[in-house]
Amino acid sequence: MDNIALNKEYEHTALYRLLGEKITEALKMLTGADVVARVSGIRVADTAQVIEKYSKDRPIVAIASSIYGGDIDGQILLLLDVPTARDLVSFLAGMVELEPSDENAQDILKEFGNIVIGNISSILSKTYMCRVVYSIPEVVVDLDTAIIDSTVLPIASKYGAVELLEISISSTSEQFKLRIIMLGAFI
Amino acid sequence: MMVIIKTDKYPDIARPKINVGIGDCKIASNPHILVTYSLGSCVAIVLYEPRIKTAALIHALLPEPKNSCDNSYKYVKTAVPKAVEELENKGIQKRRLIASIVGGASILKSTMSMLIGKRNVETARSMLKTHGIKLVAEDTGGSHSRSVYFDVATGKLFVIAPKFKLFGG
Repeated sequence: MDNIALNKEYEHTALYRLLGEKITEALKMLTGADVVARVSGIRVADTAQVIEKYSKDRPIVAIASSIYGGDIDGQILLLLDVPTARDLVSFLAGMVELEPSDENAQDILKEFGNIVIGNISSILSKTYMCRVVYSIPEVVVDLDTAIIDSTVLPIASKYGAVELLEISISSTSEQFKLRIIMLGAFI
Repeated sequence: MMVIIKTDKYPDIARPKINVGIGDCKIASNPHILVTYSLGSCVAIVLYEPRIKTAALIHALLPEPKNSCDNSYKYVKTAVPKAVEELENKGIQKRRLIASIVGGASILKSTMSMLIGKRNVETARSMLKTHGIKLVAEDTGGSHSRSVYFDVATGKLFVIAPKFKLFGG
């Protein structure tokens, strides 16, 4: 079985650029805001580095989905610190003063996950000419270490690598800025 | 004996702590505290000799190695015999050991996560049975993280499961 995450073509920046454009398009449609999403990424082969970098025993918000199809089987995690998650919820809810029950906020974050992971799945489908699907994103607030050891690490430690993507979302007019880390591990 | 005490706050115990990382195992005697943080689908296995007051704390990631084993303590199946061997090298008799298992949660509903947490726990139970070690306490499954403090002096196993919310308290 080919290791898709290690494929040079997939690492190509053109794919990150395409993902950035797709997320920008979707967020503009969803919010009407003048927003730009940029995606940059690296591959980390040493899972101990992932543990060290992202496991600080801090509460974190994760939007997670399983992705599979063809030879692809993996996990995608969007990691946001709690203030960023709050900002993202406000932004996606149209900057309206929201009575943010956990349930409403989680639905909004799931919708954001659906946009990002849906676009990744679509790009992978076209690149590898197979139908790549994903599970409905879940939102979990828990300790970062526990989230990573439950999701990405079991796959990464078996098959060798994690793809780290940083998604920056900014709006020049409203000085709005978000930084989201995406971890993907695939086989 | 060994008892599990569930709490949502870290216990304030002013004694030297030994931290056990992922894919690791440490052995300690009275008066030390063995600690491991943020178990998700991972499992912590405590092997304890209550008379001599010596314990091993394993933090294992996966049930068993797929091919070759790069680190014995990363996998439940290889970690238990390795820790037993280490304890025996220190003069501890296997027949006097008792054990606890903590962790194996399904933080996410995804199949992969559920499978690994559950399989980690099943493998731990099976390995303890194979080695004739009595399982006296267990706090496993669920969908939340856990941290573990084991007080070697008293046999108290504190399982800390903090709750988090996006908004509010």
